[in-house]
Amino acid sequence: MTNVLLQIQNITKTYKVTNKTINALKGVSLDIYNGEVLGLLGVNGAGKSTLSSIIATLHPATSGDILYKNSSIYNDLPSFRMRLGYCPQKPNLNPNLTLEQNLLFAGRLYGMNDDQIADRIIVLAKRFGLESYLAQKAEVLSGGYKQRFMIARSLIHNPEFIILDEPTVGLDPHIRRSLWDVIRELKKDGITVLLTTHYLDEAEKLSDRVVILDQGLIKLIDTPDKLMADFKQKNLEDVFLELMNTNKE
Amino acid sequence: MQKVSYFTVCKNLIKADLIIFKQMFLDKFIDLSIWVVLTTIVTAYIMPYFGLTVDFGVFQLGGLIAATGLLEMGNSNTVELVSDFEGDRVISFNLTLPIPSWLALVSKAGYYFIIYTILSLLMLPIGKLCLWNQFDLASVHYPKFILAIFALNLFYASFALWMASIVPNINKMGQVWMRFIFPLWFLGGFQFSWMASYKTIPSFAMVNLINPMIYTTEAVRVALLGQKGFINFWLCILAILFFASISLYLGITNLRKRLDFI
Repeated sequence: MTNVLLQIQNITKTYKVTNKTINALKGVSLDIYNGEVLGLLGVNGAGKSTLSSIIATLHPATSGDILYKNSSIYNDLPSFRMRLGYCPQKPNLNPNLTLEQNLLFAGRLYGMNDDQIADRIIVLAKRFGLESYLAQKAEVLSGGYKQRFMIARSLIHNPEFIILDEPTVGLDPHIRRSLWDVIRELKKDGITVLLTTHYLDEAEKLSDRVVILDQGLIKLIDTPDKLMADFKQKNLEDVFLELMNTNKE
Repeated sequence: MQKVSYFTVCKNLIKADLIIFKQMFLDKFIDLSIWVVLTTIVTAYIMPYFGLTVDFGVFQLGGLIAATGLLEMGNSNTVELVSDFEGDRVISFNLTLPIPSWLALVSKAGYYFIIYTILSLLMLPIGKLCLWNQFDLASVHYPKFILAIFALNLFYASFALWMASIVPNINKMGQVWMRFIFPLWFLGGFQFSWMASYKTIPSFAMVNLINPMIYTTEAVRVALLGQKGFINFWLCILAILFFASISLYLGITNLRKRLDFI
C-alpha cells in the first residue's frame, strides 16, 4: 500500500460563529493510499466532518493543499470531482424525485449516457437492495435505506475514491452491519474509502488504518492492530479512551 | 475518465428541477391566475365607476405580468432555497458536481428564469380572457413583449439568489418580504407609470429610478400599450440587465460566504 492517492498537506480551517473564531482544523497532514479504507475517528467536534467536507471539495480550506496523484486538486477541481464520490452525514437526496430519477440525474450530471446509467442502476439497486424502491420518492425511505441509497448515488459514476461521512450514525445494529458489508465490498472493488465515524468497533473492523483526530489535530495514524499492540489494549475503543485520558492529564 | 461539459451538467440540473416544477405547475398556474383575474376584473370593470379610465385594465395587466416572476420568487423559490440551506441541503450535492461550484447556483437561476418566463407568458392570454374587448392582442408589440419578459425574468431569477443570500433564516422571510421587497414592488409602478409619478411628485420619481421594479413594469407596458407615456423601452431593458448582473454577482458572492463553497 505504498501507492499514495491523496496527500493532505497542512490543512487548516477557521470559521466564525457569532463573533467567535473557531479553529476546526489546525494543520492536518496525512496520506491516503490507493485502495485502502482509512477510518477517521474523533469525538464530536474533533474536526472529522470538516476535514471530510474539505476533501470532498464542498468547503475550502483556510490554508494548506490537497494533492491528487501529485497535483493540487484546486488546479482542476471538476476533474478531481469526477473521480470522487461523497456521501455526506445528512442525506441530501432530492425528496421530490423518485430513487430512479435521483440516480438517473446523478449519472447524467457526471456525463454518463442513459444506457450506461440504466445498467449501473440495475447493478447498484441489486447490490444495495433497492430494487423494490426505485419507483418511489426518496422521502418515503427509512433511515437505513436512505443511507444505502446515498452510498449507491455516490457510486453511480464509478469513482476511484469515496468519502463516507458517518454513514451508520443513528442506524439500528443490523442495518449498521449490512452497511459494513457494503464498505467491505467497496474495498474488494479497489475503491479507496475515507470512512468518518465515531463508532470505534466499526473503524476497527473495517479500516486498514485509522486516524484519530482531536481538537483539529491528528493524534495518531496507524493500523488498528498496531495501535492495540502499542497501547496494550484489546480493542480500539480502549486505545481511544486511554489516548483521551492521557490528553486530559 | 472523460471530462463532462459544464453545459451538460447545468442542463441536467435544470432538467431535474423542471421535473419537480411539472408536478407543481397546475397549482402554481391556478394560484397566479386567481391573482391576475381578480385584479384585472376589479381594475377594468369596477374601478371605472370611481373615475378610472376603462383602459386602466390593460395598464394594470402590464403590471401584473411584470410582477408574476416576482411573486413566484417571493412566495415559493426563495422560501425553498432558504429552507434547503437550513434543512436537507440538496444544494450541497450540486456544489460537489464536476463543475465550478458557482455554476450550480447559476443553473438554479437558469431554472427560475425558465419557470418565471413560462408563468408570465401564460398571464397574457388570461388577461385577454378577462379584458376581452378592452384589450386587442393585435396591438401588442410581440418582439418587445418577449424581450421584456426575458429580461425581467432574468432579473427576478438573479434576484432570487440574492434574496436567498440575505434572508438569515426561514422565520425572517416574511419580514424581508414586507420590509424590503413589497415597498420596492408597490412603489415600482405596479399601479402607476413613472411619468405620472414624475408629474405628481418629481423628487419621488427621481429616487424611484434606482428601483429596478420600475423598469420591469414600464418595459411590459411599452410592449402592450406603446412607447408614449413611458420610460424608453431600450433604456428599461438596459437597466433591467444591469440590475440582473448586480443581483447575480451579489447573490453568488453572498452565498459563497453563507454556504462556504469553493
